[in-house]
Amino acid sequence: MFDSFVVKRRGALAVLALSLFSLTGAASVASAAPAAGLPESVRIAAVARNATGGKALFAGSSALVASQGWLAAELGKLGVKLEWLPVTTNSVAVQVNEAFANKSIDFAQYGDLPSIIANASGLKTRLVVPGGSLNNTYLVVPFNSTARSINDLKGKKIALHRGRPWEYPFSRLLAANGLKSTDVRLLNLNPQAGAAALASGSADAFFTLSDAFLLEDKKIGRVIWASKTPPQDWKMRAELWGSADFLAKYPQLAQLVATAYVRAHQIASVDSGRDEYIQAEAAAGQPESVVRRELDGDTRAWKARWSPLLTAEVKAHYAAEALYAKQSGLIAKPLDTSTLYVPQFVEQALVQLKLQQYWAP
Amino acid sequence: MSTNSVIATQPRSPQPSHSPSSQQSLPLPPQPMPPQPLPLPQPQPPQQQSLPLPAPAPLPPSPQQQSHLPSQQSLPLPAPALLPPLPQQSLQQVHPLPLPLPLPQHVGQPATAPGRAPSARAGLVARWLAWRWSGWTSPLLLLALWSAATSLGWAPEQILVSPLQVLHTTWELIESGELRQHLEISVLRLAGGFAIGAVAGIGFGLLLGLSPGLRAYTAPTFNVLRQLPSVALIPLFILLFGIGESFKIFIVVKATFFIVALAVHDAVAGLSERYIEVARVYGFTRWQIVRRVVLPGIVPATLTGVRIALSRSWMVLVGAELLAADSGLGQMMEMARQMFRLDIVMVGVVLTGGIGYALDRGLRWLEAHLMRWQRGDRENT
Repeated sequence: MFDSFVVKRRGALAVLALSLFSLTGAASVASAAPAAGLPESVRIAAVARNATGGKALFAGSSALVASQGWLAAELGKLGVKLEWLPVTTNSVAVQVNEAFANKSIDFAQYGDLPSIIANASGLKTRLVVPGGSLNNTYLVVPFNSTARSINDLKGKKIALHRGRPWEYPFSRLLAANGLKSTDVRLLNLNPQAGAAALASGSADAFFTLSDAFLLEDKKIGRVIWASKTPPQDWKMRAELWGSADFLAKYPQLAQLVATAYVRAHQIASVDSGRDEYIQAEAAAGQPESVVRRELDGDTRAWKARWSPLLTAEVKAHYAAEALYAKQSGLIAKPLDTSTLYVPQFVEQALVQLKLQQYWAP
Repeated sequence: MSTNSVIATQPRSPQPSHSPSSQQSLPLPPQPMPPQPLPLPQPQPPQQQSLPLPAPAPLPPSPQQQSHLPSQQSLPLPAPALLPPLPQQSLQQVHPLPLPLPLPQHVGQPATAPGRAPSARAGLVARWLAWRWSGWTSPLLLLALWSAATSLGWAPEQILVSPLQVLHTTWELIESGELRQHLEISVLRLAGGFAIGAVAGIGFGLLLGLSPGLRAYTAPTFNVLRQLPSVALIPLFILLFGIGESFKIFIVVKATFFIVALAVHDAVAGLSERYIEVARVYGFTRWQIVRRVVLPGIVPATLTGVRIALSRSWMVLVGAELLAADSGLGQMMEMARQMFRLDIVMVGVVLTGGIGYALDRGLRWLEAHLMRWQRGDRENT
């Protein structure tokens, strides 16, 4: 009994000592880290495809920024850490918006419609670096389906994850063919469930991203429409958004983040950058053939697809999409999209990188 | 006030609690009794005395009293009287529990009596607990905490919406007809799946309980299948039935069937062998045994099983709707989450809980209503 008491007391003392040590340790690290008035870290959420082997593999321009290491080094000089928060493809929109709401991230590389939804519900985020036009959207039908176009799918069940950036291109496709959203039966399913629904025959079609090619490869589905040829403003957009609070509070750090993304865009936009980008995407868990098919056949030139400029086209896209969101009941009240832009960060980055004329129209 | 009566009756309560044991030995006394019908006046005086004191008094004489009933009935018509005694015997089996009045007092008593001695505070707590609305304590506390959390900004307003906002959103959803539409389809799915599952469960449970052959064949499979959580089966059911209505109805059927079947099977297995033996002695056919002995005997346990199954299948249904549906309460919540309308999600959460509670209360009421013959019988004795 006495022994066990001693052991217990010793254990308690050890725990106490350990916690004291860790407390002082943490305090010393904290005091050593950021310069006065700066946060401990900058947190960026980005899509991670296959986090196999415990390693998150990021996709898109965030992967380039992360691998180039420039941002981490620049922030490090100020004693600020760079943290990447991986979000999974099945619900990027929800995860990022909730993370913005509970202030666990400062930036996120994600889609246009979720950003509209977030701002319409009272969150304040701003478009820091427009992401260019890299992602296409696809309409897939079961492999042996007789459907040849969206018109053949009238009254049929189409799987679509609502509130995701590809909903708007889908609405354009319907409208261009004189269809209303009530002319088809929408099944609100995340991409994984949507693919399963297509495979099991529960859905007559599936509207999604480049994972459409995986279904084609498995002879489960057939792509009958892609967003490569129609007007550019139909395309979904994924770009760098920042918390309005953070941008106002730490413009210096926000500038570093913006510059890092513009820099990555420029490096990728040269002709040889295309293969590097494909390799990076392949490393992030997308089969190389899928990435190639996703990029091939697009009407816009490679360099222009990486343009970080806030053009009239981008603004028109957001205005039209916010209108769609209101009309289809995705958001409760109208959203004035003109308040969402903070073009000064990209302008400053272009000056710093001497790229003012690089993407000039 | 009420505490006085509690204390006044308290010393007597041990007596009634002993009586069950004497009741259980009843089946034997009736035979020597027959000559007794006339001495009726003798037990009556205590009965009259006991009337002013409602609860405990009727019970002490009960051994003699109950012995009258069968004996009286059995005298005139021996053969038809065989039927009434059986349910009554099963009643007496249930009787050891009843004593509806003394029991709660007995339970409440320790809280009140010692409460007075230490401090007036404990008395206040006891009085609060005795108050008929005290059941609202925890919901109101939760509501207060929720209001405090939102008004003090413990969480971002987009994530934790205030109760008032939830009320407002509920009204909006009612006005637009959206809520009715979602609720209707959810309730329809629940009703369909639950009806199929409960009927099939009762039937299978009975067969399983009554037929050792069937039990030998199916029990292992049944016991393995019933261990599978319904929610974990959702992906498999989607593959089997697609994502249409049948998948949601089958998931409810699954959730209901196994709970009900198990409850019925256990109830049948728990029936005293003596009932069946007695029924056989009286020459009951197999169907008569089921109809007159087994079915009445398993009603309480079956109702409990059905009640548990109903609230369980409601939860499973909302879960299934969250994952794959184009309408229903669960889908309303999932869609709202995608649209970052946490107020609608909260409406769904509150409604899901409220409906689950209402279903449970409704079935409890039904249970009490269907079992009223038991209570009525008690009051008669």
